[in-house]
Amino acid sequence: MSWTARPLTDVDYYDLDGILAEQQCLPATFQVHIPGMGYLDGTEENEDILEGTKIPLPVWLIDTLNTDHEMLVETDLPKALTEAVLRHLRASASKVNLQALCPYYFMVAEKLQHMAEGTLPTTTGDTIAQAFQDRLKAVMDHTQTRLEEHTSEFVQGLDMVERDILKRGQDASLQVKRWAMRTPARIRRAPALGMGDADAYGRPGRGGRQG
Amino acid sequence: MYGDEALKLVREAKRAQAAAGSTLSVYNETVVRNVIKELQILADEQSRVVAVIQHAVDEDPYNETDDVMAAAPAAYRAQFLLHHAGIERNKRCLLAYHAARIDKVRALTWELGGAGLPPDVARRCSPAEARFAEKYAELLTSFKGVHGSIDLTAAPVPPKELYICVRVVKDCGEIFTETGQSLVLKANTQHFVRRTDVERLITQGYLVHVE
Repeated sequence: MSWTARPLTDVDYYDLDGILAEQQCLPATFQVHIPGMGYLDGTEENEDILEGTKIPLPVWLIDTLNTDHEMLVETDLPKALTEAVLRHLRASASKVNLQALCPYYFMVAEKLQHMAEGTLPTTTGDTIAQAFQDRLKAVMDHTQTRLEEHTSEFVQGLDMVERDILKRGQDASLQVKRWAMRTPARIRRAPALGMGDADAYGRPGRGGRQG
Repeated sequence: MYGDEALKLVREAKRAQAAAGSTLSVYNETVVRNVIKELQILADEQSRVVAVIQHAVDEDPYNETDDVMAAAPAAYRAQFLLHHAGIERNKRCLLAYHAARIDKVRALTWELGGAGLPPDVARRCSPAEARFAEKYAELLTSFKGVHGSIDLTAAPVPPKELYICVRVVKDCGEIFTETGQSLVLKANTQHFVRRTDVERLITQGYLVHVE
């Protein structure tokens, strides 16, 4: 794959999910001999990195090693983006456990799509985009109930972006219910104070949202 | 791999964000110190690499360019970039961790209406964060003062009635209402009071709004 650097905006720089997503490793083959840095393979065995040494490297590291001027490492697709997985996504997107494959599946795919401009097959992007849409329908259905949150296999298989969407959907759903029951008028104890003490009637604390 | 320690901080910040009733976790001084140590080691190594590169380029009889990095042998360039990537990664993780916490302090201060942080939260801050919290609360209070007639931090919930029923959870002692009357708010007593007098006390958890 070739590699194109992209400068980070302020918003991206501080994004915790962005940082965690870039920890994803890709299989990398070094194109140069580098003395003294053999420890990068995680073992004590090799003093140097030799030309052709293969070490899985995180995306953030590859980002710096490969520039417009030169590619110090050749990279391959991670397991999560191989044809086998993509076929599975085309067949039945909702059944694929993305959390297990790569917790930040969509963010990593998007980054690689940009970085490896032109060298990723175009069908990859299309497949993943379609899979996202298909799964989204199921995610939205789940926002109507809270019961299955921890037990459903589908929910366990969602990647971090999908989980965020699910949570926001559930919160929105709750707000609609509250509005229907006319509770918005009730002033609440600040959520900042946490779940804390039982309330005046001895009911356990519910750091509820205002309005 | 570089930045593994720093990643712990990012994960911690992410967990704190995701937790229900999200509040501030304890400032992880130990890990922060470790990350700074790693940064120092990398920086020292980097100085050494730079000196080696400069020397190699100076000694090279065939070099005609001023571009030191371009003239340096690939192996040294690789070493430089590896250390550079490690330094930037650690820095990014540290900054994101501290930024996330400060954002939280700001949000809490607004939620609590310019009052300082409650003691159990303040305890979890670093000394620098505690100082920031204090100053920020002062800043917010004076900002509110500019718009005297409107309470910027009041519950953004349209009122349905003028008087509300409240039950006292935590003893507040004696308060003075807008009309100049005094009210003794003893724990477990119930009162029918003007909404505007007690809104603040409800958000801060001293009273509970009863339907």
